[in-house]
Amino acid sequence: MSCDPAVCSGRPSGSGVSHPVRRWMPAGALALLSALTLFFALPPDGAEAQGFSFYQHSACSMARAGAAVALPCGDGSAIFYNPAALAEQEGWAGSMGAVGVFSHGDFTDDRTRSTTSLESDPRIAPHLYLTYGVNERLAAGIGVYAPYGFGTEWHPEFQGSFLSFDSSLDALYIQPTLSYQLHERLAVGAGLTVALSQVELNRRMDISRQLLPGVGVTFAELGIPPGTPFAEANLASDWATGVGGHLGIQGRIGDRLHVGARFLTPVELDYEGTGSFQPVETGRILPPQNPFNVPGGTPLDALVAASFTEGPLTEQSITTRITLPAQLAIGMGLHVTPELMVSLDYQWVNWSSFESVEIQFEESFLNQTLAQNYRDAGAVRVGAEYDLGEGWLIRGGYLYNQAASPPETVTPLVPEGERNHLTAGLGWEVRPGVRLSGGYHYLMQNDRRGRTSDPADGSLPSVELNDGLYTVGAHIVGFTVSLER
Amino acid sequence: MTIPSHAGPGAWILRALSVSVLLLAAGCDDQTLVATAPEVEDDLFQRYVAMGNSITAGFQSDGINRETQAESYAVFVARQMGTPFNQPLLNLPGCPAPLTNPLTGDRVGDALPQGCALRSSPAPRVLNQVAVPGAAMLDLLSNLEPESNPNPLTTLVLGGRTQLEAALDAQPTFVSIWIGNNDVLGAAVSGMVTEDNVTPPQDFSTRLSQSLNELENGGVAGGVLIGVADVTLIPHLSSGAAYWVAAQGDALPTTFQVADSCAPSQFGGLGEETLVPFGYGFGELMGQAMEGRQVTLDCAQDLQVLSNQEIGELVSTVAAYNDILAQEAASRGWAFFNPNPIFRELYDEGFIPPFPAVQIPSQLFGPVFSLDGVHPSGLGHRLVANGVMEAINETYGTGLDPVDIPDPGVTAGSTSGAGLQTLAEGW
Repeated sequence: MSCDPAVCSGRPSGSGVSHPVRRWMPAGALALLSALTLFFALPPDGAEAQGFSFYQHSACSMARAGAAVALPCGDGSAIFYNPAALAEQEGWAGSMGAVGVFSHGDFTDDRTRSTTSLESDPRIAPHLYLTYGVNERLAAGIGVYAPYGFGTEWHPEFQGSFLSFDSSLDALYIQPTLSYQLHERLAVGAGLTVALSQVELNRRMDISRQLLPGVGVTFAELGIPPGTPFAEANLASDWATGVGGHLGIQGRIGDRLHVGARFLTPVELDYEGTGSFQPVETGRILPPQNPFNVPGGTPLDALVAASFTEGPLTEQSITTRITLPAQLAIGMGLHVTPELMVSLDYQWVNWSSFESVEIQFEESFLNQTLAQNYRDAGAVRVGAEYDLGEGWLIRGGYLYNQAASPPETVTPLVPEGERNHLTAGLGWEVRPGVRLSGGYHYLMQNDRRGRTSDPADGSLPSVELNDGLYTVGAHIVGFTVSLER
Repeated sequence: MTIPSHAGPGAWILRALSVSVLLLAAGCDDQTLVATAPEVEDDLFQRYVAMGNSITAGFQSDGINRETQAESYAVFVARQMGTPFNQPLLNLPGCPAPLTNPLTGDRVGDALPQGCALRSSPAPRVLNQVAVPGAAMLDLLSNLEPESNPNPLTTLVLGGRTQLEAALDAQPTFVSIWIGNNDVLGAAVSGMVTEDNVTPPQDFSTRLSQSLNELENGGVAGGVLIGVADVTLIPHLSSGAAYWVAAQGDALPTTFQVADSCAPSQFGGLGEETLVPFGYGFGELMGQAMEGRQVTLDCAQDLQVLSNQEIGELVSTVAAYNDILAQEAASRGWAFFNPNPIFRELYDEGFIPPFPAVQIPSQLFGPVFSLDGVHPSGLGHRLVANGVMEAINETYGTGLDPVDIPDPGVTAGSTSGAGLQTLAEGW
């Protein structure tokens, strides 16, 4: 092959003018990086890609809108963006960084026109990669990243708190990976994904939907208005583990065009945890001659107080199962000039596997099925990188993704929708073997109608329940430090 | 090596970029951004809440269910406003089930008078209709005072809230309040006016002011107050003279005697100056007479008969209430509607029968009142709705259209249904 190595090499881009040197990194430093990454790993907000997926696994890739399947950045993030692209890795390389998500949003009620703001705290999603080129054809690596997760928080008094007011899903993937150069123009890679995940759901319980013990009618049938909270349920799982795989292929056509594809298998996770319940004062006082046949002046809370101490709302074990969906991405990258690289990806996520979440309680009558009915969704990513010289790179990109949730399941849990994103960033080679990347990502979700209440027991969710408009956006910033020896 | 600046794949990617820009533009054109709230006749009516008692709640024929609730004047007003109106719907046959024949006591679904079919499911999250049968002015503020009037429907409608609390939960922009009838009605239908069963106007005024202040502080921008109905015009009360005439015409059983004290004044009696509650004349005396027991209606002696003095007290109290309501409305810039001129005209035109039309049990009290003689029929509610909307239009300059007044299909008194339409158009 005769070509400018800076242009034609299958080596991941974003490496600036670095020169691979096979030397050991200090093992202690890497171990420390790994430990820190695991310890501080927090889920993103679920406001970054469709559904509750997250695609910002390095500042370099983020600045290119994640369009990196054909030509991943040279910071080890190829472990996620295309495992095959490690094949030409030379020597040791490691990188770590974090992405901060600053989301904002609100819900505007159709009827009152009042707006309730999302109260999610900023979230940090770290990433860590360590790679080693064993020889000219074989490379190995391990990465830690968080491809799925969300954390949404509303005020507990929010009208949608009966669905969720403070909930999260954390999912960290640890992926040991091997990559092999089959041909000078073709490489393949595979990784084992070990997923660690936990999920937490906090929601209020509506007394109007409860059955009056021994009577067989609901509190609503006796007049208690819907939306009367009497308890807060905290459903928190322990860490669950699941296993999957990640496959990649990368090829080169001609001197300047690179193509690639990757497939991340689904991971099924069985969660076990604890459900606990705290009473919430209803403030309702029953007048005389009430249909509950209790004396006038009796607080409504008195009718359910025993449930928290010796009844069904005592602390109990819970289980649930969630499948983190498969992903398929294909893309191409083109060196338009020696300085300019552009890339285009299409990503598909099998969100239709996220049909419902069934929560099983020790008290089986509390069992709940949270219908989601997600549908497969795609994303188109366009990125570019330009070498400014003297170790500086400038990056930019645009991303469009479809909504994964259907119109009837846009809820406070994940008020997700169709999105457009703009990205930008810089890369700087501080000195040979040390690179710093920074990126910014602006997420614009199209306003989307959604609901704040569940359908009646036994009924399916429908768009008729939608009672307002969700507005969501996010500013995302990320930094990655890469070291090569 | 040199790289051509316009290579084929580059052009392809540029085309893809163009497509992406189009996607961006399409994404911004979000169809979900269309207005979601209904188009109301005026922004003032974005959220309308009706407060009141059994009339507003849709109580008819001594019962209430989702069918009678659908005929409340408040429903018609909300419909003309174009604003959502959620009611605490009650399952059939009702709670209690309405009467189908007040002479036999038959009710919808052969239900018992004490039966209750509970609330319909799913219940609306926000109620626009918070009126409670039996409520008096005090009940807007409290269900727990010794003078409050709670009953099972208080909980079934409000769920442990007061009317005021339930109304404010709906964050109303506009309210209608028709309350106060029960501050005097108990005295009227019992035939005995005492200090305990008529609310003093001063208390009425204080409670009204407090309620209105809390509503305005809660964001209510406007409203309409509806005057207390003149209880002497309801067909539940018939003059003693009407009973005397019926007895003279052998329209009553031979065991049912009517004393000369009930005769018209030209025959030396007090008849026109007294009112006999249906519950006493027909419910108690007629019931005993039909069992063969000898009974006598005495307009001078029977405590259950309203005397001229008692009638005067009721009329003056209602007038005092309505003065208070009118003043409160005027001081706040709200609308006020006094229904009594309409009822008086209906009475004078014969649409409110002076004596129960026992030959037509389905219209015992005429087309304008339901089968308990106290609560308006669906037709009566339509007439009230038009009067209320006319008052709103006059005060706020809005353009609420009147609802159609259907032909009642019967002749009441000397005036036909077509005449009722003409009468209504004249108001």
